[in-house]
Amino acid sequence: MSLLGQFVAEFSTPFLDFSVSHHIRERATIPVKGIIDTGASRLCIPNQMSQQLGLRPIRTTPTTTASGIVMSTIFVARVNFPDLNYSETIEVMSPDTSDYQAPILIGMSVLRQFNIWYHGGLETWSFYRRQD
Amino acid sequence: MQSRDRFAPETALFEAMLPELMATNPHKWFVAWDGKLQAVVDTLDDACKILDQQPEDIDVMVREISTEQLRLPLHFASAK
Repeated sequence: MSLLGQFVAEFSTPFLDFSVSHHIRERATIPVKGIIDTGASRLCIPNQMSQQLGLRPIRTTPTTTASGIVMSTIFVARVNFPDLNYSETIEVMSPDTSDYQAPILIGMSVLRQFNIWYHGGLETWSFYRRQD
Repeated sequence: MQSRDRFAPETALFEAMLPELMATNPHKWFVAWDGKLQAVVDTLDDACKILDQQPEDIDVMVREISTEQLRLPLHFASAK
């Protein structure tokens, strides 16, 4: 145990493998790869994926993106990060535009569950489960 | 494609009730449909249980009371 908490995993890239499912019908699951993005408030997936999984929308919200402010829909989904031993029902966000081409973003709604150490020399990402 | 204003009545309701909700129910979840507050629950999972009991064609708005509202006003809090 370190001051950062219980060590979980170390990665040599900011891209993490995980899956997104309907929050009840876990047979509707899509394996994906997302990038760690501390500038994103939530996990962000393309609208087509939300529709494909049949995710339930729970509200809309204006969202600031690199290309300006767009409306986004918030859905409820089940996410599973096997390498992080983390599975949870959370809010995910999809911009209401079919031309959204950004990668899947792993935002703070997931990252805040961990303490994360980026080692600049080794270019590695170490995840620790928060103990507080 | 989602309609941009499908949750508008619930959003307006949430905004109108926000001062009272924040005073009495911080860090809880607001569940509304048909322009009415239906429940205030502790977790997103609890909100999902209510959500799942409603037909798919009913727009149920679920929103954490504290998420955006309590995080931003740190400066305001310290200025009081």
